[in-house]
Amino acid sequence: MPLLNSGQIIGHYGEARWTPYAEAIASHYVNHVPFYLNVPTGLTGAADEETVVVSRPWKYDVLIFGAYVKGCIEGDDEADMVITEDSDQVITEDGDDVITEAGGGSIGGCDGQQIFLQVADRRSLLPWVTASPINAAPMSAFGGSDGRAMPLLKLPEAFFLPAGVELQHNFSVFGNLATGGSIDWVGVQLINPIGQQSPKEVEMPDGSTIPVGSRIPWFAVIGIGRETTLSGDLRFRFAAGARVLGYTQPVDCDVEIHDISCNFFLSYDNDGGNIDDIQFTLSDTGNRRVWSQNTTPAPALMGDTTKAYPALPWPKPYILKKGDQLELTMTNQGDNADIILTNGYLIIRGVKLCGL
Amino acid sequence: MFYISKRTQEILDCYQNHLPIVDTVQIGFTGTASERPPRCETDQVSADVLWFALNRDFAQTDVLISIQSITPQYAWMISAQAQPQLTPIGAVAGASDQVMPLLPLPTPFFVESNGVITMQFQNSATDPVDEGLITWIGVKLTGPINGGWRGYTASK
Amino acid sequence: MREIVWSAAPQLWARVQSGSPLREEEEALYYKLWSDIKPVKYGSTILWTAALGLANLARYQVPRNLSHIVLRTECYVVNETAGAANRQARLAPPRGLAYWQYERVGGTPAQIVTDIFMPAPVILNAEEFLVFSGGNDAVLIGNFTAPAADTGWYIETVVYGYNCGSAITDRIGSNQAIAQITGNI
Repeated sequence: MPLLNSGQIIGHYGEARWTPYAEAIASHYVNHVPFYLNVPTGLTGAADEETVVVSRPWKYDVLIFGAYVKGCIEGDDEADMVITEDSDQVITEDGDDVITEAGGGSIGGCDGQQIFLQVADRRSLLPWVTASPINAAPMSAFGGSDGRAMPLLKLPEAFFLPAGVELQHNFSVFGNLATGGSIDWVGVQLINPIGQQSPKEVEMPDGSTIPVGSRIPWFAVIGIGRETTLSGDLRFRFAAGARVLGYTQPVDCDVEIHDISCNFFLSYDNDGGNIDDIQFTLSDTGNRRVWSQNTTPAPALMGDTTKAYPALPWPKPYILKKGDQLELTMTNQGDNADIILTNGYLIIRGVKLCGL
Repeated sequence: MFYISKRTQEILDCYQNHLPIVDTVQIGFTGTASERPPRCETDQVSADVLWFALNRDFAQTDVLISIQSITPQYAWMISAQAQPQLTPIGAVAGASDQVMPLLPLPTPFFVESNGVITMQFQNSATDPVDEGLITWIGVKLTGPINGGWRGYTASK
Repeated sequence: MREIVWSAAPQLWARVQSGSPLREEEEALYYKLWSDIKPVKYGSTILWTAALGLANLARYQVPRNLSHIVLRTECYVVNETAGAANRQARLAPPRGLAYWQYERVGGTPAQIVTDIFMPAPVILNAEEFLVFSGGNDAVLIGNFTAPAADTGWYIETVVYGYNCGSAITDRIGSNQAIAQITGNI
């Protein structure tokens, strides 16, 4: 039964639905009011910049469902140049696009793919993104953005932010310059708790009782390709023909994995690559019956900011057991040695089944 | 994105474990217009599987497909014409140049252990594809409870 | 083959190691897994000078409804020049690159499996663990430069593998080695 009373709409390709955890918490409050929390990045265009931004605490409990992001980069040291000789003119017609590599000011640089974010609430300080490899995830894994098929991206599970608790954000860039930008968290304010105090526990549909706050988002980041450096900046490089293995960090409790996001469809396409050439197989080190026989093109496994599902869900969430890791075999089936996937990341998103 | 209907939930409840499964199958187009390469099949799996969605790695929309399952043996596509036409691929599988590269099936399809899905393709008449991959995404069902789900052959 | 069965069902190996006999259902599982394996060998002998650039070193059409696990490849060069001092001696594989790929019926390339820039010895004289789907050809491709001498050198290739059903591949297939350590960065 859809919670929102909007007629007999039984949607198949995505319907508005709250998770049982969110419903169980929200049912303890009389009033639900929309909530938008704007957090500017504070980036000023300096090289290798990092900022820490703490959101203002709010007076009501909040359930955060998803986010919208805005994050433009100005170009990196591999930005294209249009080279002309003396007195040449570059003539375009109205509406023509001048396409440069990702990071150029024209196309592909404003969806947060190359601005990185780590989040933790200031009560538990449990980080949402795994520490390895870069202790952050592209902003595009947290939110949708303007002008794309899906401007909002929802979290795998609603996050309960208690009244008076701030959210800490660490924004960073690697080798790119960024000025401004923001993330807008979208959710619901929960007002007038029944019984005059916030619930400490809620009951799930299977009858079990879990503490409120025991569901923390889990973002596991895997860099695509080999880890290298350029002028002191971290780079992941994935050359044509290469095959590389990648692993998620082992988890400290069970995680329910929901979807996978990535940040490279637009940039690789702009570089002349074919995103179907970037292929993966998936396996679980703790359960070898989770595996695929052949490599699979990226768009079948992950979403990015240009897609209706910026994080592509699995048909059914999968429980990755404590201590186990997901193993990804990455292959670049391209055959042009000049087209290299640079600074691509994929983000496996889920919810940790343990928190406070 | 994926809708778990009551029947799908009934099937899932007959198994202890629901594991993700991804199967990419090589089509074998040679770049010849309107060619029909030999049938290709999903891999055999030693567990029951619920298939949910499809993706293709080419953008051409006038590639045609006909799908049949083995174990259980059902045809999926109907074209009641004197000259039957296969189904356009865009109705069945998403592509990477679309906003939904993965297109869910109208209902998840249950295949018994060691069963396969076979596919007959016909290449585009205007812009033929070379090679071609089709990817199936589903849930592998292991740890059957009381023999798992046998609803296709259930007596009631 | 027995090692494959033990890997697919380690509880059988553990019981045998402990000295206990297999129970009835364990014995049935052993025979089921054992009968799911069929050893296969294939390969070729080709003149090196005729194999410059891309050459098919070994091709096997994997039967439908089965998978094929490649376990070992051997490739060496043999000098058949009359009167040569090292005639018929087995020498190192040719200089160049080598990789595995899928082809469909008629030799149509369908998907590349291993790194196309992998130096030949890593692929051609090595243990392997790659799983190929049925209904396709598993093809070993060499990409060689010209030999030092012009004539009389042959490239001989042998591939050893098992055809296995899903009972085996579903239990051990996830360990397949698609990603190799590569110099291609």
